[in-house]
Amino acid sequence: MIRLYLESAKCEVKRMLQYKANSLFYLTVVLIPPLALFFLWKTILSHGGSIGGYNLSDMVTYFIVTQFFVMNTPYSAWIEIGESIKDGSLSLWLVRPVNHYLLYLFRLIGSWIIQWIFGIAGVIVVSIILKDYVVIPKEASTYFLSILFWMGGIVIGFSYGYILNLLSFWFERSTYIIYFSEGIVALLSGMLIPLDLLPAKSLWLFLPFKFCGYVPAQIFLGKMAGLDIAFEFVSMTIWIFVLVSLSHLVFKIGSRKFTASGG
Amino acid sequence: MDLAFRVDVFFNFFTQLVYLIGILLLFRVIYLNVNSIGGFNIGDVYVLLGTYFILIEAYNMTFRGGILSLPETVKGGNLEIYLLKPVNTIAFILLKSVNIGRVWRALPGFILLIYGLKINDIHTGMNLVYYIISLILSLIIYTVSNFCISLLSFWFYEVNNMFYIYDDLVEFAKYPDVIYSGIIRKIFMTIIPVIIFSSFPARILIGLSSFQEIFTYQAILLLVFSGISLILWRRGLVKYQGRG
Repeated sequence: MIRLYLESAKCEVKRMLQYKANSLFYLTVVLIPPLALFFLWKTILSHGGSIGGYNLSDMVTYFIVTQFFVMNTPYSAWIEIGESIKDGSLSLWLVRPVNHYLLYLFRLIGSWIIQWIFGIAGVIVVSIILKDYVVIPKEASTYFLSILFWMGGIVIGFSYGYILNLLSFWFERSTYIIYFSEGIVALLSGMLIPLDLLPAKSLWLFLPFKFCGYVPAQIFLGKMAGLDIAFEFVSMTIWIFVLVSLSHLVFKIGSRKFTASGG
Repeated sequence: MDLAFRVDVFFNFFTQLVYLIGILLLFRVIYLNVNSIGGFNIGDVYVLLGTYFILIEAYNMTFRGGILSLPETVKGGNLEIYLLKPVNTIAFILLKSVNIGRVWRALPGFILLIYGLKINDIHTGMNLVYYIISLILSLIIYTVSNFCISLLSFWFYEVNNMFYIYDDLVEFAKYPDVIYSGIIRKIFMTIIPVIIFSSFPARILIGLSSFQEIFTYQAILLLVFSGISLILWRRGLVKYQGRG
């Protein structure tokens, strides 16, 4: 059964490879904003200062890493999900022996892999440009754990977007709710500012979106270790369980309400 | 017309608002720890950000639609529809999608601008007139530079990605120009003059720079970019092949 989902992911990879130039241009999304923020933080922290425990190297590395993680997390899942509910083509998937959530998750991973590869290349390029200011971890485990948590963040982001897409069972305009919430969620992932520097930080650090950018960045910077990582891993697992269960529940309830013409 | 699809409009607007709030939070955290960034205090930064959002909305309201449509028109071989009309073709293309109904979207920018001036207790006087002139010049330079990108469609099949890159580069306009240095500063004040778009008008309004030096700089940039766009336009027309 898993082979089926892997095949669908492979199809998406092939589809994205048709548009290699678009993926190449995607590099700029990872390159340019951190460069702009670098100059800002260099002006503020160049004389050895720090803000909330972040010195210049921490801030520069934080923004390079979170820019990559957050911009490469699929908060809107797949707009086609909501569209298929509205135009009735969901009925094609309901009769197939596949899990709708898993199928779209694997398709999404397949469609994003090429961008992730180019994104990592962009991170390497900007790290080389700013090499005097970037924190480079020495342990392989740091890279592994950062990516592991980000992968968990991807599942969380996808599940969240999937649930919002399923609102099309009840609302005509769920697409706009999705686009609107993308902005909020990117903020809550720590893209613009480390979450622990925000007022009411306990609330933002409770929400699951921190795993899409903030937590992987903290691990990368070496600001989280040992028991903290274990605690966050358990927390992430619980959130994934909650959101995946909620996705399936909403789909089950919504598909009872679903109607399509001609089927 | 802009409010004909109210739900779309309001969600787009609130998405922008969320982004603006994020930037404001960033600067709020910064200014809890420092008093100024290169001479810009928090009120000055609000003026800068307000100017940035007003500029972007003014561009979106006026020239963006026309400029983005040009590559498709050239690709489709439909440019003669515009060339044969008894009006200036460039002006017609630039102004064909003006949507004044969007003006209300610049409201957050205006509110931020006024709030920044209030924090600093700035009485603008004649500087307000100079600010408006400088802002208009920034808008025209931004428009002409985007127009130059669209003119590349006479030579390249796909130029839309270049617009996205340029939109990313305009991120540099959100922050005070003084933070940039070295080769980056030189490039982004001349060849790709994104740094000056909002900083220059803001500097005039808050009294950090004189109108004369900024006006001269912007006028020279405008002349250079206008010259480049005219050369690209004329060469492009020679290369262009229509459908019929």
